[in-house]
Amino acid sequence: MSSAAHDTKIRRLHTRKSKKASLPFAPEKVWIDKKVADHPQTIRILNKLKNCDYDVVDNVKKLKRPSDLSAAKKQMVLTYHKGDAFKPCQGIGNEHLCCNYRVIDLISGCPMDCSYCILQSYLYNNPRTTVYVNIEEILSQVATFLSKNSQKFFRIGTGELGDSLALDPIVEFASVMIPFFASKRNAILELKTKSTFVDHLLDLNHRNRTVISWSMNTPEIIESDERDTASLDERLEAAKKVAAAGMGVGFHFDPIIIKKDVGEMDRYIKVIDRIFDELEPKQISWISLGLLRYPKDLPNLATQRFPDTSLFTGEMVPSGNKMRYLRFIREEAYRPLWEHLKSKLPPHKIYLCMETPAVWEKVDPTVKGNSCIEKRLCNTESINFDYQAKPTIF
Amino acid sequence: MLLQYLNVSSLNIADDSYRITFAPELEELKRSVKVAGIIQPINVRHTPEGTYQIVTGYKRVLVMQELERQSIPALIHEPNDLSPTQAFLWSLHDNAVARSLNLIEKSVALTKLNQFYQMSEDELAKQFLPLIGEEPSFKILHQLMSLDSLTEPVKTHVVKSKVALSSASRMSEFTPSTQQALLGVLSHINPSTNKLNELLALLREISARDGLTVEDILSRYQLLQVVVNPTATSADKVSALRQALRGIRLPQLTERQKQLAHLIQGLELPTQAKVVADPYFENKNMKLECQFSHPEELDSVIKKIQAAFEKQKWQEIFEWYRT
Ligand code: SF4
Repeated sequence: MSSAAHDTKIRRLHTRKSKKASLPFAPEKVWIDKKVADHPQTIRILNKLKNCDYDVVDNVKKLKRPSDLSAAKKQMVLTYHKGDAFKPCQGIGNEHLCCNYRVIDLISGCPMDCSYCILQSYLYNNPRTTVYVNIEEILSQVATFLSKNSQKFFRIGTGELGDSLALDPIVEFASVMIPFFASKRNAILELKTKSTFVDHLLDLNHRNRTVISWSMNTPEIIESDERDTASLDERLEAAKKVAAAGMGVGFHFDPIIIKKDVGEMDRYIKVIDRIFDELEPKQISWISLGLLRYPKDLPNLATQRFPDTSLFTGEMVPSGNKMRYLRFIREEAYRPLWEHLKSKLPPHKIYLCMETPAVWEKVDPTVKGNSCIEKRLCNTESINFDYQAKPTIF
Repeated sequence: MLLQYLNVSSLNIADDSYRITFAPELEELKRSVKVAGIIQPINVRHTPEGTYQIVTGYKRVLVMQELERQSIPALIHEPNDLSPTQAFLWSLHDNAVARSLNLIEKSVALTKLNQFYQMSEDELAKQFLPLIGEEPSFKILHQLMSLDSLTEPVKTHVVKSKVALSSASRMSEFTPSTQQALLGVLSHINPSTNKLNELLALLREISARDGLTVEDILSRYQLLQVVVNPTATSADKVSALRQALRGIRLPQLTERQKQLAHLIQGLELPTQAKVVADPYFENKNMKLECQFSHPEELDSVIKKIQAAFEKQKWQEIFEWYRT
């Protein structure tokens, strides 16, 4: 431990576990909302968790909050999602260029434990892993939306409030969603993960309407700050299986971390090379780049749990209600990665996540607005949706 | 229960089982006692060992001690009549209802309820935070409970300088020796909550980035010297300290800001005009603000701006900003 690490007391010791995301999550306790006790999805999930301690409660909102987040992560709540579980991604509508992504909330919370995870802040008062079993109802909201907007194409994901596949060996939601999206003309599903739980999905009929994507980082960051996730090699192995099954594969370099200077981008370039050692460009639907950004209270919360982390030491400045690297540092960091990616992949498959027009201008001046990114991404080889024929709809 | 005059020396003041009071202000009470004596008896618990534990009235006992009075009226409760939990709740209600508790007192109350009386965090957040005048939030609960790790001198500083909860909680994350070093700096300044939080965050981040202890940072960059300057005001010291720490923590930003300030200075604008730019260089828009009170003044300001424009100085700024 460095001398600085001694400086901050470890008040809540976090037991460092080895990489083992290939083992499914086993909650220590499951709380079942009385209203969904007889729901078929609840019964199916409980059948998967035979030896788990569970309790049916009248109101899951009144459950006592576990003493800390690490304890909360070992508990699961089965309930239903009231209201709108299908909404625009948080990047929409502010100062960033956005790919018009939409998200479905089926799970909130995550059994993995990344130091930079914003859920530590977002779900502070409600930190248990919560599964919404009314997936059919939620998907019918999606179906209605898609048919009402049949002239537009949508990229839809589930990984905003958790990992899309970390719980899938238990909840098996992906097995419901992939066929659902296979039947849709104007949408593609993205399942974003740091796990390797894909084997049960490989034989599903996806009709090129699913992309499984991995959040990527350097092996060093994965080891130090992405607890209980799959290693880089494991992620690439899983991606290869998905690609071999003919499904789209995506990668998100997010969060890209600069601790001291942009020289650290060399490590990310090596990871890019690893991807292209393992996969053909045509097997890759998209790769995104996103530098670390976080709500202002996150470093305080995260360093209490992980005193040794040095993730929050780059030159971050306030930007709206978040912190992010200085603009010119972002430009400098993206440029070599973008150039390197461009030498491997057509530019329409590469995008920056939640970046400002000023940064886009430096990295790829041809991108002038949201619809431009959206159109480019939706026109990947894997998607048969003719945007060019209807350019005025944006 | 028995009302009796107890000898002050028979009270076990060192036993702080039910004590919440921290750094009490005694002067007003002392004046009142001098005039009217003790109006309301204190409550004590008679232990099986024969000692008297103070349940309520700790401040009254302190005052009586300071005034060198011999006896104090007390309601004596036998152990069977008053359990330790009840006694603590009496003490808490007695204090919380009569006055607003300081942060350390709130922390003591919650920590004791949790550690000795097995109250869950849920009960603490929902029942006890509102009782002590706080929102029922887990974040606030955790921040208050974290203050238990502050050293005694820092606790006293928190109360005397009215340090905000968010700052006090940040200070509790440092080791006792670092807290001591911080106190050496903080005792010379009186920053606002936002500024103090920023200073603490800067120190912690530099420490994590460079692998230095806070003590090392303070001595390597001679930061103590910045705040001991006897001629500077507290506000000037805070500003100098903040600037020094930001320069260390955000070297590229600081350098850019210096360069921009230099370029703006080169415009030789009249005193009534200034250029305002986004301090973080995120927004490329710049603003030119002018102040004038009559047409001739406006005319002169515009001419000077025009002169700067003709010298191509503006161009330099735009070009620099674009890079
Ligand atoms: S995998 Fe994603 S959701 Fe899970 S802890 Fe890491 S960042 Fe958070």
